[in-house]
Amino acid sequence: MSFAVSPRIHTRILRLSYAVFSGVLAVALAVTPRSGAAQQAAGVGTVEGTVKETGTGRPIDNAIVTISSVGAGSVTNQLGVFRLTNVPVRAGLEIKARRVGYSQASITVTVTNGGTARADFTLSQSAISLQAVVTTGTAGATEVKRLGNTVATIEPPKNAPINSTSELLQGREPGVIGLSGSGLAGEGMRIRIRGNASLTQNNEPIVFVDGVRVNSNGSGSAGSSISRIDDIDPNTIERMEILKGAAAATLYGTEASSGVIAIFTKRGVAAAPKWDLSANVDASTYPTNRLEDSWGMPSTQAQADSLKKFWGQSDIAPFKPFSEGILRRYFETGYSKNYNASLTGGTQSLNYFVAARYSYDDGPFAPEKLGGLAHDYSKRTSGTFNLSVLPASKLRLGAHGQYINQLADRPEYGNNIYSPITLLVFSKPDIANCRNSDPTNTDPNLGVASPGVCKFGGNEVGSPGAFGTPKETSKRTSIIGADRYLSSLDLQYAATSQINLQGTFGVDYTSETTTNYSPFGYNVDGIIGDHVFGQKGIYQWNDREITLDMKANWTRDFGKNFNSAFVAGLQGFVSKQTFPGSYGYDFPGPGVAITSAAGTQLANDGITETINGGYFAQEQLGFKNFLFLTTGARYDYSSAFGKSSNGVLYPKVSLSFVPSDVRGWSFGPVSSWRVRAAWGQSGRQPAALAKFTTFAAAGGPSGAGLGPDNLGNPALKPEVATEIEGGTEIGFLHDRFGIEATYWTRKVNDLLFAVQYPPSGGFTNAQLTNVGSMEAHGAELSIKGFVVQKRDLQVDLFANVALLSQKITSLGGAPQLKIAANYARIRNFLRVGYAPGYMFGAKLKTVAAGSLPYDINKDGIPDTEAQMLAYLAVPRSYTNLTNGNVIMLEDGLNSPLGKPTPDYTGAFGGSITVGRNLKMNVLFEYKGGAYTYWCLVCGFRNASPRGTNTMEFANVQAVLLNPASTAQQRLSAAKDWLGLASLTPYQGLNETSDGSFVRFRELSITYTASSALANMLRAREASITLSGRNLFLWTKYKGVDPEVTNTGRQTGNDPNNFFQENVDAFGLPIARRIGLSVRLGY
Amino acid sequence: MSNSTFAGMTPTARRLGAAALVLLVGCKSMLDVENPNNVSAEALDVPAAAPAIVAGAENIAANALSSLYNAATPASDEAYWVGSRDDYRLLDTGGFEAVANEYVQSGYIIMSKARWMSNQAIDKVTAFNTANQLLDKQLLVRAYLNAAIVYTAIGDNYNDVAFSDRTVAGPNLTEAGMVQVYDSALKWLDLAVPLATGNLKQATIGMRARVRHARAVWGKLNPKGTTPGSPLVADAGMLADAQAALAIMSGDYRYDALTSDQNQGDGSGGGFGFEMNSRVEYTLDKSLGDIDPNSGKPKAVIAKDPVTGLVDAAAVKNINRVIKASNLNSPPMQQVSEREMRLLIAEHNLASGNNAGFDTAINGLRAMDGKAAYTGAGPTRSALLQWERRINLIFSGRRLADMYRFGVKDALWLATSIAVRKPGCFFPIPQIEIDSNKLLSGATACK
Repeated sequence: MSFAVSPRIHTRILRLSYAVFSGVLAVALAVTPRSGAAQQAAGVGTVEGTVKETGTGRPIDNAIVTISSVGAGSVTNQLGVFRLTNVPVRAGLEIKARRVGYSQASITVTVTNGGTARADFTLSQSAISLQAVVTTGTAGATEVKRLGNTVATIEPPKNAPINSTSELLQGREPGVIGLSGSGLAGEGMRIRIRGNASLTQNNEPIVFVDGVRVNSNGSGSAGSSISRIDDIDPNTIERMEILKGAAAATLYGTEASSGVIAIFTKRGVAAAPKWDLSANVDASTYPTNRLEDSWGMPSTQAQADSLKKFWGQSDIAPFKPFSEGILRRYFETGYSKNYNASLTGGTQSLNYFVAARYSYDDGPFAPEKLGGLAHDYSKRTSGTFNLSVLPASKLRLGAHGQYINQLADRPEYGNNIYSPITLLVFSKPDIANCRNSDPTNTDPNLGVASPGVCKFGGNEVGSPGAFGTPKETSKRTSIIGADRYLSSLDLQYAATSQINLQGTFGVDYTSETTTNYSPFGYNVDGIIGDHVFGQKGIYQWNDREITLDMKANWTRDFGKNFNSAFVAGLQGFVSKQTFPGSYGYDFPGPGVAITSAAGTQLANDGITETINGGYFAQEQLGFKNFLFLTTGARYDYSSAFGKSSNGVLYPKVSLSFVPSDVRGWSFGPVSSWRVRAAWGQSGRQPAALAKFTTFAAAGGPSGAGLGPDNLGNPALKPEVATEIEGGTEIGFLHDRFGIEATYWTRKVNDLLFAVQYPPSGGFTNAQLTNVGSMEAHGAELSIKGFVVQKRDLQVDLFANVALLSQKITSLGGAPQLKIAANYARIRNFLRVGYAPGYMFGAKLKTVAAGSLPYDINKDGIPDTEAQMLAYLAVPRSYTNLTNGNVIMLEDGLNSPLGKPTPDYTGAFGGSITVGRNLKMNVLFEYKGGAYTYWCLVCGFRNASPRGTNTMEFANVQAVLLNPASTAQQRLSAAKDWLGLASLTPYQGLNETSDGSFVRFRELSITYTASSALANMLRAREASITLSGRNLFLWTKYKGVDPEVTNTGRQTGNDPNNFFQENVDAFGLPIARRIGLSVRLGY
Repeated sequence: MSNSTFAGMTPTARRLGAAALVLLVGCKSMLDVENPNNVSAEALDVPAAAPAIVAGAENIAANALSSLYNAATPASDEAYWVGSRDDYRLLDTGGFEAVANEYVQSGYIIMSKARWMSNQAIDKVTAFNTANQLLDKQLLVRAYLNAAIVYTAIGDNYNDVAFSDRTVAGPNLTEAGMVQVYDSALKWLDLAVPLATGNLKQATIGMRARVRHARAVWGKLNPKGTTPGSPLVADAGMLADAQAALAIMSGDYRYDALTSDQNQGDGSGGGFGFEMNSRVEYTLDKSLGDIDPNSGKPKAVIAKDPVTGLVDAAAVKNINRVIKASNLNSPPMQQVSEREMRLLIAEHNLASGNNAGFDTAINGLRAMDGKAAYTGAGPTRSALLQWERRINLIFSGRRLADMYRFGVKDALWLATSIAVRKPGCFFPIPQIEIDSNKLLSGATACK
């Protein structure tokens, strides 16, 4: 059996998809003219009016005004004005106005033939949003109050310091976490919703843009990463809807158990063309207050004398620690700029929205100062259009397109010996020298031009030898670039007043190229040994995601009390990736930079294709306007299980009860109240070939060969997450204050786990098997209040918290899995009874008073202080107190050290509006509880022979080595060393600390020009914003930043890439940004 | 179904129903997708796959040897650690018993893969041969030779191993039972030698001599814990094979295991060549090379011939062959050589009290590099044998056994280390096998 062949399949699918889609389109068009003709015969009129805020009287823009009975709708402009034309003549037409964050209002009007009816709304700001309309996970637009599950909605704040879609997700919704990668320009975030719903499959939510499943993966290159979700221009986003778990995401079936993010882009409105222009410039810096200098210590007078000359410090002396801020020398003030332009408008039959964006971020790290080729910038250029055609009142056709060009040019990065940042962190000022500038050793200045700078060359940063120098490694480049097209067509047809048909067909294509290049002869310091005659790798990653989504909605009333909304449809996704690439090394000379010129050339290739498809149906039964029962199910197929496999059924049921909508309701200050409960399932499927036993290429000098690859598992099936959630929303004082609370519990059965069979069986890769189970539960609480609502002063406050507890309950007897495979220094595990990624490692043995957890004499008994004093009577190195397992541990490397996910996360903040022009927004984000962060870089700086350069280490080593020290002083230093010792064979010792933090994430102060002032600029509106992001950090974490993660937004379904989110390994801290932006509307 | 079923439906509904039907019927066949990245197990039953099966076994074996040497080299006095990854520090200081050492574990994993694939190659190619479907009999010889190399490397470097098959766990051989791996190697070489032609003739006979020697050395180091009183090996079969092989070897014959960019590296690093030559985690021992303190790289080979006191030409040749390989990341890994045959003959003669025979054999070896003949003056014959073995078999996973049997201790080994306390202790069954194999039993002497 082979999995090769048959390139026709894809074409077949495409043809079938187009055929079905065009079929539906044809059906819809065929019936359209009759409806339109009938409508025109009855005559039409116009409805116009305004939507303003209750209390303040401010106009509300982007409010949606609809007349559902005739299928008409519009959106207000910045003055709150709307206009609906071609409205069929009718008496008693109910018009509704709504906007996220406001209560809904309705007005009844009469439309006469050729006449204009007026409807002026006032909407109150609402701390809860039961009447908001959502579409995600419900297979049709529905009010929030009808759903028994939560659907979170995020509307981009207008002037917040947000430069990417990932940043838009940070800190806005409890349970939704954006895990920052680190402070390199353009680094991507991981997104987590309600923790981890899988141990081996992607824990990222799936992402849709206007109904089309899109590539939201990460991409890694030489330790750095980006996120493809950041390709989406945040300025084009109207709102995001987030389904947090299986209970809400059931209709998305397989792959939805980690949640769903649905992005809706802005649409045109029936109005005159409207331009919106904005530009912003940010300055960025690394917060260096938590960054410890590099410390060193000369051990001889000669070394001290040369260091005096090198550093220009007169007080350097043997055994006296001194420091230099070596890493920060290569920092600068970074800057970013973003330019946005959009045009929107339309008529009653054609609406359009067109936008363009250029975004450039030059980070605060300056590899250019090392004379290298690498940079630290990231940029994106994108264009977006949305076109809606309404050929008849019952038919809407939409076309959506986005083009994105992305480029990230950064140095090698992360836990990587070829990263200049890693080598700078390792720098030891006590070994810096200018010997290469004074090869004959005759220069009285030892080749030093000025403090820390050599005349010609040398080891200016105290690079600890081996691996390479920062100068050399700054010549290695790591570039990720991509061209991406995202396009879709959609159709909505109101076949009757009760039946609506919808269809969406979309393609998201990403052509990404990663380039890693080292030029010929880049070993300028003669240290680095990796392909010194140059090397280049070009790796393509072409990803195509096709979506076909069709559904029919049937809404109807039963008698006076019951109403029903039935939805049925199908959804299919075709995902295909190809990975062509080439690599070559040993160029014939300088300047050559193509793989085909390399002395040794290698090619690589790969293809992966997965097809998922399913049918779904949902019935939502309403009793009056306050009790709603929803049942639904999805039946899914996936190619990952072969064409002979059966599908999988994911059911759901939910109940929503709104007592405040019961006639006669009155309960003091409680203005709204809803209780809800939901139960549902969704899944995650394994990769395309996980089911099959395979042999892979095992090439080499013996020729083309085959070797064991995948063990295979014919019984493989998706893991299934079952979630129950219940909660309530309560609004007080006309919804000026609101509380939303949700408790949820999740169990994942048939948990896919990478079962490691004995490697002695030859197939050494772990095999995915449905063996385990995992449980989690949590709660989310949000409070929001419009504290002050005066005409010239408004104060809004909010706070939220999400609690999370998760535990692996079974691995079916399979052995635990260590994250990061064989890499000894990362100690996160998947172990029964513990949270995913729980850390186990070394812990000092508890010993009796008068003894120390040292066993220098290896008698198995803790040495007494007297024994230690005798041993330390002569100078010793710290290695004497390390090598040979002389530090005694409690339980080897098996002591529990903590879990990598916080007990609670959340955000708080608010806004103050003074007068009608000045507004300030603030947002703080926090994590806390039992939350342990692993400072691997601390272990390196305290205990690695190559990188020991902390003040604490220098002090210990100075005392231990100094012949003038007393034994008692050395004993004291030996005790101090117990607080520093780390790495092999003591992994985990002194590396973990509390990762809790509070971060001042966002600040914006916006001045909005008055109409008069804006008119002076000939603008419709104008504003200027001073903003800041990541301004301050409060934490007990011992490292530089508890948001630096080891793997960034690396791609792949490899559990080795998961659960390291609490490991800080040579990442740059999150940059602090201060910016100025200007918005103009015409 | 009769047409009357649809009689009440509108044309629109009928069209929609037809479209839905097309999708319902079509979906299952859509699930048959293309993923031409690998082959199924059945593909190995096709006789045409024989060359790929054997080549795959050899390439994986070379990869495994590279990973094994990556642990064995800094563990011995051939190299010392200068890098940052501190699991090398454990090895460098004689701490071989750590079951979680990433380099020991990575070497074991890929060696297990090589072991299984070497058996698979023999099984498959033998079946093709039995069915008269094997066009090239030398493929069978290569499969036997490869398995012998893998099994011998296992015997030479591990205290104990388990043999499992795919998902079916197998028991460990036990430390006392490890001799089986040499017996298996000899069995296959007995089958290979009569079939071998050309270059493989020297390799198979030479390898058989090497296996006989290795088996005898293993016997001297087991049970573990003491330095053998008579470390030298005398074995008639070994002598006969070495002489027969030597008779047909010429031109400094070597049979190397080879890696390239396609078959090197493991879960912990880039393999022996990359880690030593490019990344410079460890470097040539200071007694053998002049090491640049800045880069950690050897500037020159300085090993002195104990007979003449001059820089040893054989050391220069054999060390540079590795540290200055044309591809630094993929140096050749010598498995069978003319040099070793001469060493085996010399050792047999010395162990048998035939000093003249020793001198003749050792001088034949020395003559290959133009070194002055040994006349009995200067170092003892045993010391000379040890030296010549050290520099002629350098970087081939043999040194640790020689250090143990000759009582040599690396200056960097801690007095409390397993290497010093328990001579004969090599690498343990690692954590990953311990965790996943319920059939492991017995205690180790190496603790």
